[in-house]
Amino acid sequence: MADGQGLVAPGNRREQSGVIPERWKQVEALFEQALEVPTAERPHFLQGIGDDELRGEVESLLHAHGQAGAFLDEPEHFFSSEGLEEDAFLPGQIIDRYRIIREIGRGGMGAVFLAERADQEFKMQVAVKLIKRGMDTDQVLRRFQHERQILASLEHPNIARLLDGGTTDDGLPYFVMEYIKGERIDHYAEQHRLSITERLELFRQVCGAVSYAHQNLVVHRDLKPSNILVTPEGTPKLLDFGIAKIIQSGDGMEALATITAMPAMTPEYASPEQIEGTHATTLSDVYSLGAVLYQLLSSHRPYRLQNRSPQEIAKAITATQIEKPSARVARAEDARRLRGDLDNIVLMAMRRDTARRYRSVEQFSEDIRRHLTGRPVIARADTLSYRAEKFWQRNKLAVSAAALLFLTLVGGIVATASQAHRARTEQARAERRFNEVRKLAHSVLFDYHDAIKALPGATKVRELLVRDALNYLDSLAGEAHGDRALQRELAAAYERVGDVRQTLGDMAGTLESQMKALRIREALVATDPSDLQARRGLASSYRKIGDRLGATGNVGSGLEHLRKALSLFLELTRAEPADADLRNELAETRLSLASDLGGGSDFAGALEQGRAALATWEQLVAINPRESWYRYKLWWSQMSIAYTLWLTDDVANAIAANAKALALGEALLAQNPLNADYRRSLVINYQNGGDMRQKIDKRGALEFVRRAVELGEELVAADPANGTARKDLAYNDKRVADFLVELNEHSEALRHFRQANESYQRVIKDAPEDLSSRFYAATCRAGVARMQACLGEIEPALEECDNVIAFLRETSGDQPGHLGKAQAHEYLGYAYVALAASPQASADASRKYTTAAREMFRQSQSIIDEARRRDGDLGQNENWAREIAAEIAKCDAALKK
Amino acid sequence: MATPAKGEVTQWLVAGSAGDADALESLLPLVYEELHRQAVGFFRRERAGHTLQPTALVSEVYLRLVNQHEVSWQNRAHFFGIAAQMMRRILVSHARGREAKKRGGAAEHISLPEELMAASERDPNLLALDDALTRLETLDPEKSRMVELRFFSGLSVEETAEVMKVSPRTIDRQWQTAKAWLHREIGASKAA
Repeated sequence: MADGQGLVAPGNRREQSGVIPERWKQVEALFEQALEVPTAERPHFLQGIGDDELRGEVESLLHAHGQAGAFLDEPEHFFSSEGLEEDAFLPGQIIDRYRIIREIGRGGMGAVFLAERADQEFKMQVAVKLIKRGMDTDQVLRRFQHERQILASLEHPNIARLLDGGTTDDGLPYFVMEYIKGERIDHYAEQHRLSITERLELFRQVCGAVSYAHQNLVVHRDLKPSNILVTPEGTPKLLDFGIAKIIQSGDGMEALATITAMPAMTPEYASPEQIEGTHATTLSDVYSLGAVLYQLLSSHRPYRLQNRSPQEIAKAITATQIEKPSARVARAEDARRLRGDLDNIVLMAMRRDTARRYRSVEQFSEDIRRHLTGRPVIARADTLSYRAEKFWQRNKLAVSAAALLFLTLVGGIVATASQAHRARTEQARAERRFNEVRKLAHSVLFDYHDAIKALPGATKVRELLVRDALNYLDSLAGEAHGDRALQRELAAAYERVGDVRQTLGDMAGTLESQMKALRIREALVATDPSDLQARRGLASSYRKIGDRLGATGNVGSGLEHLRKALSLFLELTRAEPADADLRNELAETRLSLASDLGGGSDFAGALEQGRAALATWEQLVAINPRESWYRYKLWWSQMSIAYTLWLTDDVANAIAANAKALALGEALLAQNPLNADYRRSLVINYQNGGDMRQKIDKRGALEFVRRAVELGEELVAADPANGTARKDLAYNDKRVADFLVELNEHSEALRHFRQANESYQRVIKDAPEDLSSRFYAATCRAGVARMQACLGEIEPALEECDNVIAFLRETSGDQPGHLGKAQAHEYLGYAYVALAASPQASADASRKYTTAAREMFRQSQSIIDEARRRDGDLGQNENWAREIAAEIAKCDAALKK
Repeated sequence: MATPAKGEVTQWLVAGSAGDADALESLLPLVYEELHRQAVGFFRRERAGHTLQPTALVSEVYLRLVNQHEVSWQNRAHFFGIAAQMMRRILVSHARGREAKKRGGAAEHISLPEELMAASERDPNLLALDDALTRLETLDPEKSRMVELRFFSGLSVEETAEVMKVSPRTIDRQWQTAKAWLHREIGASKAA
């Protein structure tokens, strides 16, 4: 700059030239005045300054002002703007074997030059991408060495080939790629005024390329319009495949250095999981492609941003709702075209939860094809069950086909993973593949599980899944030390496995897996208390464990865990009040608390928590009425409130509340008739309705329980291997029988006792260790004996009684104080009472049966006493104990006669 | 060092804005430590594709250290004033340290995370800016301070005006002037 003259501040050019602040004030005032003057009149203004020195100074400042632009206005740009001179290459200069022709681009990671081979006769043009200084060169090169073969082997007409790479004499890493003459896909589409259909066709070609790379285990990680060029012939070409992976390291501390090194890499197309720092997977590419399609269709980026700072972008991606593309276009005609399918397709690809995105780029692309050919698309309702339903409807066989495919995949992946794992110490490259495989396995394991879990008939597959997943996770766990990312991932995986085991009815297994997740997360929070993600995970673990402990009768310890979860979630929701998932988890915690508090007879506390949970879910449903999970939980919280009211003997309000719950549940099931969870919940809802009417309306109660039986039969028919469903059905059959006994409908009752017994026998056959079911079966058989006695079938009744007594004697001692055993004895007591009351019985026989009855009741009582000694007050069961005592008194009275 | 309690810093800030210069002075090490700590945490949390933004760090430190309900607008501005100085100091001393190291000298070593060093090292402009700012300070301390506030602490025009106790309009004008002057200085020193 030619402004060496004049008044200059002390600096390196003039050693403390002694600027007089008074002079500076003059310069400043004149400069400010000059700025107010229209540009055209400035020369005139300057001429008016008599003092040459002053004029020169003002002139040079005006010149600098004109050049400064946004200089200093955006600190981030300042910090990221590389000292451009440092790595500027001039035409003719040679990088390794390549002669620079000219610079063709400059971005966050460095500059790109058009170049040609300097040592060959034929002039092949290439693009040389020079990575700028400031990165950890050794790391980049090492990763490049690992990846190079894989990347070089990616041969696809829509992928720009990676040809070479190395370091310059100055030690800067560079990559040599096929030179693509083309325009960014979004610019191309605008300039050629492509129709929506043409844009979709073009985009599907891009999908094809990404999908091909995924099959070769390469994830792009940085898909964005500027990485997708379209040649003049209209062929899209993807740039930089796998480069992001090389430049950014995968995990841990290594990644830190690269954040600063890659400042201008725009995060706007990055997936939420990438923003949050977890591993990028093929599903991250699905997201980024979704963002690209969003822009291609609407001509807008997915998020409305004020200042585009990385923080704002990160917040937008992880926290805001994406507007539909159709809402962003100006022309009504375009909006109409986008509304519906295309909105849904784009938003499905961009779902925050990876499990709810398209499962692959291929599926994404296929859905676009369906749209183009006028077929129904997968992306419609924002629910998994919708997908599952369609899947099921199309072909029931497909379910088992998918299950088979799934097992093959999992088996293959686990095998590959462990092979790769073994080779790890020998070969650094194997480690990299292992990581890739680990990620792939992770997404396959869990995405597939989610896709099949709501389908009936999936139980067997899911059990196998759990077994394989656990083997795999346990083998990884040994390697996780010091790797926070892997630990986090492991904890999440254990949690998911725990969730699956829970739905399979494996309670001890659930607790075991959840405890593994908890320990990992406790360690994560202990080593970095500011890690919010870890705190959130910890809260989730506390909740799930509290939940399980409570459900398995360990209420005290369960409450303790739940309270820890509650306080963590309250803290987290205060920090992030708009986070629906967090609020949902908070409400879940309250619902579990409500259940455990109710179980411990703190009904006021239970109602308070239940109502707070209900209020949260009502809000969440209002915000997102199509989210069936919130509706499902709203239903459950309503059910919980009803049940608690019933426990406080507020029967009228309990019945009213339960009816509200039923309405919510029936509506939900009607929309998702194949959802087994809804059906099972409805069973419980009807069951409760029966309980509530038990004392005031026996016929009404019977109807409710009968409906529960019907629903249970449907469940068992759809999924015969589901032990829980079968058990529920058996229990309700028994309850129907109980009501029929009270209504004196003996033969009907006999039928239901028998049915219940058969169901229990099936359960016992599959799970011989299930003691409760054994005792329930015995109870049902005692019920059969009692009904036989009532119907005058004395011999069979006696025989049944003997069998049951023999069984109970065998099973004694396994678990003292088992209330199931007390109930079986109680029912035997009733059977003998019925025998004693039979008109066929002689006075002697009658006396003998009454003695037997008394003995049975007394044994029942002593088992209950054992239980009380162990657990203290038995709550609701104390009434039952009193009933049994009354029966003993009756027997005594009869015997005195 | 343990994170200072929110209340502590808040008290100092309140006292400082009431004219207690010592109070402000005693904030310096706390803010420095926390900035330093946050810088590490920041890089740990934020992953790929992010620019180093000193201003974001400063905001985060503020949220951590200061109980916002008890601190008025002016106090907030004071805090950012202090933080801006600290941020500048942190970034620049590292850029210097690295430069010296490159030349083989035993640089004065301040323990800062590698990541932050990379950020400052990456940008030779930063050192040039720092030099220019120091020169501006001898010429026009107010403008130098204003640039510090806006650039290193990310204060808005209004906030800067609050700290400097002038009108936003004045800040606007001064910013234009300072920007032109600094741009010229940096350009000139490069050319030399």
